[in-house]
Amino acid sequence: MSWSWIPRHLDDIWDLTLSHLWLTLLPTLIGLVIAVPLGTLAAYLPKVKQIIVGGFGMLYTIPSLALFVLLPGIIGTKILDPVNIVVALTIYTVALLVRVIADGLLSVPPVTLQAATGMGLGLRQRFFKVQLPLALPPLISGLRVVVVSNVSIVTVAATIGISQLGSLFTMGFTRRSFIPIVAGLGACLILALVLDLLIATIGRRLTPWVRAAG
Amino acid sequence: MIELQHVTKRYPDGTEAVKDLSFTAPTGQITALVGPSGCGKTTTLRMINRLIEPTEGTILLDGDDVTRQDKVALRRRIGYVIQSAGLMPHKRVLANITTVPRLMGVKKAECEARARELLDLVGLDQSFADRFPAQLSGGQSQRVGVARALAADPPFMLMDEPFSAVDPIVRQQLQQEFLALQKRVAKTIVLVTHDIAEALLLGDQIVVLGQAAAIEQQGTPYELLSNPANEFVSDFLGRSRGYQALGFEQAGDLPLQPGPVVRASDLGRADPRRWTLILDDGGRPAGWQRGTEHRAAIAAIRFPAESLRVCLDSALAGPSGLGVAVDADGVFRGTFRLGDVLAQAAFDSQPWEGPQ
Repeated sequence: MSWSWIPRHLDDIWDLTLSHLWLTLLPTLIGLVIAVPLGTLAAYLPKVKQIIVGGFGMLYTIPSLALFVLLPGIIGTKILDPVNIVVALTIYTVALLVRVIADGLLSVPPVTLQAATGMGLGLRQRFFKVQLPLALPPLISGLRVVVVSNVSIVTVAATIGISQLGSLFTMGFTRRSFIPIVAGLGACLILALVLDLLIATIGRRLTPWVRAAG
Repeated sequence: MIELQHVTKRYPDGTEAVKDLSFTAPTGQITALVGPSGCGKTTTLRMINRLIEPTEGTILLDGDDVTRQDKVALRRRIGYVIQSAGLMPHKRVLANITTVPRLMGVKKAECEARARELLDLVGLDQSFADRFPAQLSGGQSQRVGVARALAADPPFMLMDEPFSAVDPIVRQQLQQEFLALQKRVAKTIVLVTHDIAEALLLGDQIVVLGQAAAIEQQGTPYELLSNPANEFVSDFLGRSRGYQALGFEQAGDLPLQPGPVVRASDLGRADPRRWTLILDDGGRPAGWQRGTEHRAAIAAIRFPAESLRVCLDSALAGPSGLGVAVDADGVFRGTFRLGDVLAQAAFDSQPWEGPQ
């Protein structure tokens, strides 16, 4: 296999990149949607926080491959179903974000919250207009870590036959060539960088006060 | 009018932060609650807007019991200014100011026009409108805090140590400007401070609180200074209360004398052995001169003077015990003697002739 293999297979690499993107973004988004209410609950109820953060912390220690293999038995999916990947990565995402969100909400200065209440903001208004926006900067940092980490974990799914950029690694292994591996690695790297940059840019747009303070 | 009737705040462990407190904050006036830290003054303030619920007693706003009102609606009728302003860090100045009116459904354009007026009112340039709180100095933040409290034009205002987080020079400026502002808006204000000087300056009425918000004395600044009810109050007023009381004494017919004064162009005609006031071409005091000695600083006061204290200060600040009086345009009107100021301050004191 020669280097010309890469330009000849650009279409295939692009397809794999798209499924990789899909397998990364979907659990990240679902995880975010789940983590926000859970993190909020954890922030307001310290006992629940221990359970939620502790519980998800333990789930996070389960190796991804083990989780991919175990999940079908637990949720009744087929072993080759991409849903397994989505569910596993969603768990990792929630595990990372729930703590970030709880800590972020708790880091809002009490004096700011009290001022908001004293001015006449109701509890819900205070949460959505003051507390949640002020927790955005740590949340965005957390999201950047999560998305990059998810890009990397998705590759492991190749070992159970779900095609994405990780499939290039297994291909390189079976054909004893490092060329597909280099291609997969490069594509993963670019994908991670692009997603990280995208979230950072959106984050900057959403939190203009952070730069003003700098 | 804000009325507190037998208000008590008792915590579950039995400690009483406020015990059976009653006072009335009259409409359109500033009532200053002053006392040492931990005396329950902030607790008292927060019971008025129900950030803390009273255990016993009644609090009435213009006759309406606060506990019978929706908390959120109640708070929107009460401007709230706190130490360090408590601005929303993620919102620009204009958005901070318009928060409450926006929540109350006032149109955005209308809110912003009003907010820009408020910026003028609190002495901030329009260029601050788009800044974030992190880009403001302490004094500027506090001005925005006051503007924000006024945004929904509430009849009442609660102020908790509003000027204590800024340096003394800015504080003095903010206090003076706030007094001028209050003359225009005439809100019913309860202000909490640990700084007796602030209470004396801002309060129409002062309530001095001791432990568990027990009232040690209630009265006008002059009443407190001239007749402190007990040792607690006189200790709290501090050592210069006699001097401060002069700030509330009217300067009556202080006799003015037309000299010693000389035009800058006639400097040669000044007596080299005594301090002479030099006037510039416009007739404004420009300094004191004695022979080759010169003092540029003049503690001139507008005449008629606002109080005996400023007269006393002017006379003491001059090199020869003479105070300088000017008119509204700063033009020299005359000098007055330290002795005459003291004579006015001496009330009816007479020399003691010994035991009869």
